[in-house]
Amino acid sequence: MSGQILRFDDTEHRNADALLPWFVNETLSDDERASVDRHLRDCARCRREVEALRQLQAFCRSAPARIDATPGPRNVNDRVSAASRRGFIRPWLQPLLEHWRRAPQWTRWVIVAEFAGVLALTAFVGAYDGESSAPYRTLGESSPASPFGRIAVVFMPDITESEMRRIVQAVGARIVDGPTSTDAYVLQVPTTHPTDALMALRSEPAVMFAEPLSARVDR
Amino acid sequence: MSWPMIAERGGRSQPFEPSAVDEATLVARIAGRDAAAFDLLYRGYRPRLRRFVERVTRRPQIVDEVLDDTMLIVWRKAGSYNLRSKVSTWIFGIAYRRALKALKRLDDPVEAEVSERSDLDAAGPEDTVLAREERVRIAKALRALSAEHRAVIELTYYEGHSCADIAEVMRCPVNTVKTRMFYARRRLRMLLADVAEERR
Repeated sequence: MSGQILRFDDTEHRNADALLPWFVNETLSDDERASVDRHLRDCARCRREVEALRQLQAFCRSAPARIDATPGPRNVNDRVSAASRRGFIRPWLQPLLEHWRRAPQWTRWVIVAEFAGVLALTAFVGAYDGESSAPYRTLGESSPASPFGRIAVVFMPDITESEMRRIVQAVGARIVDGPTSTDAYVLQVPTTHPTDALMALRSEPAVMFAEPLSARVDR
Repeated sequence: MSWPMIAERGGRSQPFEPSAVDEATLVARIAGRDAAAFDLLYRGYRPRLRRFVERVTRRPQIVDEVLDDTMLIVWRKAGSYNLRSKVSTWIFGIAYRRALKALKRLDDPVEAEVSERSDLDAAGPEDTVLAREERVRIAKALRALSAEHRAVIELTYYEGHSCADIAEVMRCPVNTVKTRMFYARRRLRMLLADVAEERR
């Protein structure tokens, strides 16, 4: 701002100056453009500004985005399918999350403690069953037991879907049930790496709670 | 602006250049859960959105997440799209809000050195107009702007949106867009002067 005395009305100058970026990108209405054109005839400062803005525009248009190194880590159909699945889960998830957010802090802790108690009991019963079952299969048993272990997980209430998806995919798991009334999900993990999956889940900041539901996952 | 080649069933490819009407039709088909329409729209918008989100956030680690979230919202909310706004304005608005939300969630105050290299390595006819040093100065100054100011600059000069369209993207009055642009320009002028001073 040079402080030079302007020959024209200052309001007109300010109005024209505000429109210069869109004068340069040629999206002004006819009236606005005509008014800026008129002003430019008398205003050297605005003419210089137009040149500077054209330079900025040339820069913006010539500077490319970074190369997309991951053009399709997941194809669009997968995304749509995933979105559809989430569309099914959402109606269940939203009210529960809303209740959770509104609940006082002490209520949340009570719910978490109750949930932990139920899970501990479930795990205990599961472990007992595992110990009492016979270490052999009868000839009539057509197939071996499921090659998957199950883990109950409670995520932080404000977790995003993409973050939840990332965590589940990172441990090679699938959501097979949930959310329950306590916002828990049941993940199914291959028994080739169940303990790794459990440890990985527990190390995620967005995971509040991760406990094995079957004896196939070592604590 | 180039659009990707979309493969047809017979393996032949043709450029996909949707007009505003085509885009609105695609969104209507997406509302009816047409995955092929979503695919077309996604491929058409991804490069532009990617660049926009990159420029606004300057955080490469959140770009893919913002893009994913944006397109999934498009898939879910296609039924609520109304023809009063352009499809591009609607989609960029979603991307802008997701980008700001993702930025708020981040703790790191230091912006990653994202695109100075690509800004400088750009090869094109503009290189004959803009001297390399000038490009360095502008890139450096742009990086120092706020996300909102960068968004106004990007939407105006790269996307070529009108002031009214940008107001829709940012969900604010037209005068607010003008004010943001005014302050963005003023800050750029100061930053460019500082950079020039540093070089002396």
